[in-house]
Amino acid sequence: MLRYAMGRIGQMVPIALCVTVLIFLLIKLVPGDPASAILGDHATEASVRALRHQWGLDRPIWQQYALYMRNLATGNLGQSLRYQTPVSSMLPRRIGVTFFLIIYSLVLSVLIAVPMALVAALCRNRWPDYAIRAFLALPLASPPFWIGILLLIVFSLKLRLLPAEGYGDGFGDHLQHLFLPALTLSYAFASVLSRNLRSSLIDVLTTTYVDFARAKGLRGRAVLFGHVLRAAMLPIVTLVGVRLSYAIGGSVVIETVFAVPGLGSWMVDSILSRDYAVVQTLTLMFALGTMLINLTTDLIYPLFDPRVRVG
Amino acid sequence: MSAQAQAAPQPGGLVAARRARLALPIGIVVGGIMLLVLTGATLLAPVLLPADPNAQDLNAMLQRPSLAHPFGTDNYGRDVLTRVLYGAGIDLRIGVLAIIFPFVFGSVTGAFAGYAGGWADALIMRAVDVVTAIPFTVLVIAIVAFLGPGETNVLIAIGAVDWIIFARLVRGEVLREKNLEYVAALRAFGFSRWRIILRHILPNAIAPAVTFLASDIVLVILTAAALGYLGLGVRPPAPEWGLMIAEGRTFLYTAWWVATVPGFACMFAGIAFILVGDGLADLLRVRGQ
Repeated sequence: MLRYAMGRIGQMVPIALCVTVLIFLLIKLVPGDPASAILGDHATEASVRALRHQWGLDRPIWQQYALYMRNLATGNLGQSLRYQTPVSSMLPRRIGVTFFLIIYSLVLSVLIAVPMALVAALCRNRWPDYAIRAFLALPLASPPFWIGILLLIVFSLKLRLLPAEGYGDGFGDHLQHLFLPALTLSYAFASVLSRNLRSSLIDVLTTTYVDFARAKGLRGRAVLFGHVLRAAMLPIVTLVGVRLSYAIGGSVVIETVFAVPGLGSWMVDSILSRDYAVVQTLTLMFALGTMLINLTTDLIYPLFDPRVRVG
Repeated sequence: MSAQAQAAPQPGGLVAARRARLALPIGIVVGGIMLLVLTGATLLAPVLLPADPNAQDLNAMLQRPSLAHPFGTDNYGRDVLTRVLYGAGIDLRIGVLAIIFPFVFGSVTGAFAGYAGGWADALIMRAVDVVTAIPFTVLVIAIVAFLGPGETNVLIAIGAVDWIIFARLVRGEVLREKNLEYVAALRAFGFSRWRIILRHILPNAIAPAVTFLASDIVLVILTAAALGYLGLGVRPPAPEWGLMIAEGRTFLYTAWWVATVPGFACMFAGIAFILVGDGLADLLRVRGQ
């Protein structure tokens, strides 16, 4: 198990390094000179030169990368031009908000997906199955931020049940404020989860050991929750990891819709104010977060499935 | 028709199986009709609604849906129906244009990686891993952030990220295909590597990638709309759906129709492509058996 874990971590390191190169190179995509792009048309030549020097843009590209990596390693993530504070001081709080949102949407997705998949699998090819599948096909075809806006119109503007924006203070307040954004994110998430869980459940329901469990006299519910659901959840664990990375991507737009002060809305703010260094740092944070999630699912998987642990 | 399609899994004998094979899945028919309606409306938009989609009428701002404006007007008094219809042209154009490069480049790269093996395969697949490590939406947004907004840059950003899906799909197929006897025979004939890959293996390995095209169009349209919503996509005053939803976001309380109607159009297009794609996948699977 330890060797397996070390192996997975070992594979991740070179990829993480390449990701930093890729993100470092993003700045080269800026048409013209990034320094004059930021300072605007009225900047003096001296101030442009000073900023270029400060960023190391007047040095060879490999030195620029070395400088970038040294800054990363020492936690010097640059200054947010828009908020006039060091990026590293804003980062922990923002990460916390986005983390809360992602976990919240994961919990909601499971709460939505598991009952729906159970009903769909047990009523296979009858109307509840069709209705659930149609309902869960919709988020795959529609823009998530638009679904968020529909929820916002219904639940906060018309019914006035939930706050429309922000994060709130305290845990209960967070739960309330983030309910609609988390629900929006979880709709697409639950859709994929439930589709796969349904087919996985159908596979398990037709195996002989389920017949055996029934034959030894276990009641329907005990078979369903004790054996079928447990076995059917297995293939889903990996899927959760993959889908979480989609949810992270989706959170950028959803946070903007609901003005949630997390990493995503910060990234959009920074893009609009041409705060290139912040955009780079946040892209890196999203990438590292995704890699950590994938690593975690790979490490968790053997706990659910002893076969992987032995092999 | 759906009754026939359902007959397939039952052990109903050869006749039932053959009938199921001949029947067109209902999804592909419905999706196809929806696509026809959509493309027809897009092409005929200048005839159906000859008004300029950007024409402002400051006397008719934020009007409720009525006979004159079936979907109301926005904050500049522009007719929402006209804009949504012209917007279909923009969003569908992006959807179709953006998948050409990823499909071609990704398929050829994936096929080459799978066939060549060794360090070339390792190199290409590590590049794929690196791009996969960053969430799709985040990377596309980041690239557009540095390139600047606009339709061309949206196409470039999606092209730079989307090819990895096709590379993965095709590589997997080629890995299975390359050990078959006909490839060994071609090699014995002395055909060049690229000729074997492009003329012989790729046609047999491309089916999953072709099937994925429909889902990819949906992914691309939704991504382009998201970029438009964030103000990073097509520039205003173009009637792009995501951009229109963003413009309506400010007036949700007074004029819900400005933000909601373009989303329904987007959903209509999405469902159409998904139905056609799923239907195609079923057809190919049946034929493969």
